[in-house]
Amino acid sequence: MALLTAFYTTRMMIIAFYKPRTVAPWALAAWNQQGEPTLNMTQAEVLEQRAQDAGHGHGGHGESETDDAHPHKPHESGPEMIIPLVLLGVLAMTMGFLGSPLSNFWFQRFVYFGATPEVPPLETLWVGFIVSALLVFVGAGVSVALYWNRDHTKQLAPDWLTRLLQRRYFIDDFFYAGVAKIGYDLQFLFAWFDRVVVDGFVDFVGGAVTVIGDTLRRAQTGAVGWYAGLTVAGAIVMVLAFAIAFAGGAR
Amino acid sequence: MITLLILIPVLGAIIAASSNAEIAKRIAVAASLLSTIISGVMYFTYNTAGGAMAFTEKVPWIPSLGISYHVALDGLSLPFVVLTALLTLVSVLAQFDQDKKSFYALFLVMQAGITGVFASLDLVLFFLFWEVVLIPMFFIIGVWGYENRRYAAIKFVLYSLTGSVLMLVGILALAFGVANATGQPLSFDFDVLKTQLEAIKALPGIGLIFWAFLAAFLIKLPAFPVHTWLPHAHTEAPTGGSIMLAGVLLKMGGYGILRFNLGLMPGEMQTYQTVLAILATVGVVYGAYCAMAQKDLKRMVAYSSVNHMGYVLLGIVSLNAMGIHGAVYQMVAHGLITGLMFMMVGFLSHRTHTRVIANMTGMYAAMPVLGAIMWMAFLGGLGLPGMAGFIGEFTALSGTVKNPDTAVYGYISLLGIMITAGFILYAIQRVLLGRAPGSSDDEHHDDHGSSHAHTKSHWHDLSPLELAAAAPLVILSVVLGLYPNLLTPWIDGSTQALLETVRGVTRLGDKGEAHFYEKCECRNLGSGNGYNHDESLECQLLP
Repeated sequence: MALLTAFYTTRMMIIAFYKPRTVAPWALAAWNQQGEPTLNMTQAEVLEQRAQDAGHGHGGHGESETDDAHPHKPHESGPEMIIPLVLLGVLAMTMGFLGSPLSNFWFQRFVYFGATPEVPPLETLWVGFIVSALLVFVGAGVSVALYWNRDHTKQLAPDWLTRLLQRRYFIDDFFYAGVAKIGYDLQFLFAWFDRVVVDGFVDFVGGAVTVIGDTLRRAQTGAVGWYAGLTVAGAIVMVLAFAIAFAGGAR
Repeated sequence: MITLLILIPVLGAIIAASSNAEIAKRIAVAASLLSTIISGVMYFTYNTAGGAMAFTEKVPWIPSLGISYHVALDGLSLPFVVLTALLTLVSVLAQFDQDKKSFYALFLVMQAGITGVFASLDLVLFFLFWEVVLIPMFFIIGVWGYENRRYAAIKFVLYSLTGSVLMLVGILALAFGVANATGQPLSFDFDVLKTQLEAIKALPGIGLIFWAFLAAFLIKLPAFPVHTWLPHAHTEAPTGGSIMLAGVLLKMGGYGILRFNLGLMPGEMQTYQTVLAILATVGVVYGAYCAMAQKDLKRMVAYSSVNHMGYVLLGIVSLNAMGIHGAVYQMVAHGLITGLMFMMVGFLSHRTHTRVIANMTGMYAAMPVLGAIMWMAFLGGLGLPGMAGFIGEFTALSGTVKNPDTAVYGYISLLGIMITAGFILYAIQRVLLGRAPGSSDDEHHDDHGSSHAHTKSHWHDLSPLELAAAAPLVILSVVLGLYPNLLTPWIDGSTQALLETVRGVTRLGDKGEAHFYEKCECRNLGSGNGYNHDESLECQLLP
């Protein structure tokens, strides 16, 4: 971890402070013309797109601060930035001693509310200090060796690795396509079910009652013949029903 | 005192109905303000320590049938009575532009009815008030609603009537069944029935009676799958009607389950705990998803109520002090926050002449005050810590998870919080954020404030009157989010009292009896004023 951190930190410092002030084209194209991030593109693709954008004449870079047309001149920060930065820098350089044997593990005792903290033997600690310090130097050294005399605008890693890292091991893509998208799309299923099945059933019951009521209303014609006919029909049905029930009981 | 609370709006309604609109709206404000003050005084004079019934008034009404005018309030009903009066006031203020006196009279009648529902301790009286609430709301939706108002109003009334008819059957069956079993004279009094039910070991058909009561309450709450009246009614109702519907009418359902289903028939509550927990969980997730899919902003808020009331049901069926506490807190919080959401959506659609989300953008830039309050209300609906909704949802879910029988439903319901966050933030992004419509695009520093001068001519921000209507809800939803002690002692005392009486019932099934009897590990929940929210956090972590 110390090795890798030292490596990328040194690389960044070399590029930021010791290289001529040029802007890598793929860094510029953080946003393409449509205002979409192009971080998932390899260098070759970005360069191609940049060429196309340039062909269209006025290439809008969205909110990109480093617009070619209006380059911002670098300048030192004002005191409102310098003072906090100096404070943080001093603290960052000195705070480490508070947790080391040099301060008799002040920080550890502070965290444990004055109780004696469990610390490994001093020899183990010194080995740890030395190994991690060495690793830092190795990482920084590799970084210097790789980038000091090199055109940093050229992509070093193979395309597949660049893409893998730029897309953050595709973890975000997995969550978007696999979890968020499915979860999001479920809403349409739920809404359809609610509208058509649940509310549809309610409306069906309501509608059915209306239809039944309407039918029964029409049956009340007021014509005596119709009522007489119904009475006879009902009587026949009843006689038949009794007959069947009686036959069933007798058997 | 309670009678006064019911009579003030009734008298106000009579005077309002016999005057003209200009006088009627002022009378409505005066009557609801007066009842807010009176109920507020009652709220703060109530002794929270024992959680007992107070302000009792009992007058025989139809002695031969054992029906009496019996009203009383405790910590579970007092917050809702205050909320009812306050939301009536707020609704009238939000709808101050109506030119029909009957509109204001109906609100007052409804206020009287809802107050009666929360105060009644006689089952017939309760049913009577329950029905009184229906009629004004039918007219408010059907006459002053949006385009589809008649369909929505009829659906609302038919749904509610189905529930209340079943409840009436339940009330009659319960009273006659108890009278037959004990040989005592018929009584519809809550206290009498409770005592007698505790004495009877098993009442035949109690399961059916339980579901008859529950039917009315689940429809009102509303719980899946009897919730479909809600999106229609809430969407088509005028702003004030939506505020009352979401703010207090839904709470009648939750309160009914607590007072009658749990209070009278705890054994059945235990038996059907799983069924209810499943319904609640479905309501939470399903409601949130349906809300997400809505294209109509008001309809989205309406469906979010299905989601929020799911937590209430879940908290109640957890059957422990913390869950029930959370359910009541959530109901109060939902009344304030969703009331505010409906108010803001109403004000907004009044200005944009549309409720379609896709047709609105940049409303925050156009109307900063309205936008800010709406933003706040939406975040409150999302359950943002620091607002009342968070405490309600958190406590209700904690209680659910604490009971091993319902824990799994609590965990599934956490999904609902995520989906709620999704649709709320999505709505904020589409409606509130972005450039104000009408602001010219060639302005370079559009987002640095200089565009306000441009847009002011097109969009009227909140008027002082509208701001006055929103202010109580804004203030209370934040105060109750930061200082729950204003509400928790009231709920806690009566929740403990309710569970205490319920524990004495021997009809409780053997299964799961242990957690039912188990007292909340944090005794401070019951002690009332010593309660603070962090301690409940620790309690939840106890094994």
